[in-house]
Amino acid sequence: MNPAARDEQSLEREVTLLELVDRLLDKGVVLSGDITLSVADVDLVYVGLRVLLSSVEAAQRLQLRACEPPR
Amino acid sequence: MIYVYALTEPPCVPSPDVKGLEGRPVEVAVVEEVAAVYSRHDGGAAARPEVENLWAHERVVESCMAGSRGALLPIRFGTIFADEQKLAEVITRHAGMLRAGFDRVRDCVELGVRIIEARATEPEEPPAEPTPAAPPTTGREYMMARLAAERRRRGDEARAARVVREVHEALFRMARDAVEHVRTGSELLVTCAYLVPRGTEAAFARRVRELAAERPTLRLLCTGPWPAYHFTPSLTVAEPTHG
Repeated sequence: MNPAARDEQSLEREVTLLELVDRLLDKGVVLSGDITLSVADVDLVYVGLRVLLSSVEAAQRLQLRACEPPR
Repeated sequence: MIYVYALTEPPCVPSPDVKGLEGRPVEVAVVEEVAAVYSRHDGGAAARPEVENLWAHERVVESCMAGSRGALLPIRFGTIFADEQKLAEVITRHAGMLRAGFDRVRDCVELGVRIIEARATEPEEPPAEPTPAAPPTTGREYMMARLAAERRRRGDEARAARVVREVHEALFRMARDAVEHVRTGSELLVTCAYLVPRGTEAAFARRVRELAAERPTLRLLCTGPWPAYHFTPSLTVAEPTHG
C-alpha cells in the first residue's frame, strides 16, 4: 500500500474513533440510571484519546501534501 | 445490575453472536411498547469508559439497528440500573417522549461529516520576520502592515465560513435534520451530524465527495451510518410527586 493511502486509512480510523467517543459520551438518550458516569471519568477518556490521537492533525497535514499534484 | 444500550420499537432481535460489555449476553425487555436492550452485570465496573468498551456498546447498538425495522434510540454510554424494575419505571415515566423520539428518527440513520478548512491547517507563514528589502521603518508603516494583515486574515475567515456554509446547505438538502457544531481554534473545523433516510447513505457519501472535489480548500470526512445519537430526545426530569 502506498504511504498516502496508508495515511488516509489511519486518519479515517482516528476520525471514526473521535466521532464514536463524541457520540457515546456526549450524545444519546440520558436515562437517569442508578449509576452514571462521572464527569471525571469522561474527562479521563478524552485525556487518553489525546495521546492516542496525537497524529490526527499531523495526518491531515500529510494528507494535504499528498493531494498536491506531483511535480 | 443491568447496563442499557438502546431503546427500540419492538420487536428488536439483536444478533445472538453479538455480546455485550464483559462478554455478557444481550437481552431485550418490552415495557410500554418500548424494547429495552441490556445486559446483566455483577457491579458497575462494566461501564468503565475505555475505548474497547465504547466499541462493545456501539456493536450492540448497531446489531439492534440491523435486527429491527423499527426506530431506535441509542442510550448514552455508562447507564446502569439496579434491576429491570428500576429501568421499567424510568421508561414508563418517559414513554410519551420516547415515542416522539422514535417518530423523529424512524427509517433514518445518522451520518457524520467533518469539514476542515484546509488553508488553516497549513503551517502559518511567519509574518514576524521582516523582509530585508522593505522593513517597516516607522511606527505608522508598522501599524499599516499589521492592519493589512488583519484585514487579510478576516477576509480569509469570512471566505472559509462562506464555503463551509455552502457545503452544509447542500448536504442539509439531502437530510431530514442536522446538528452543526463549529469548533474555533487554530483551524476552522465544523462537525455536522445529518439524519438521512435509510437507503440514501451511499448517495449522501457521493455528494460529500463531489462537494470536496469542487472545493480544493476543504477536506470533508464522512463517517457512519451511526445510530441517531445526535437526534435523541432530552428527557425532562420528572416532576416531584405531591401527596
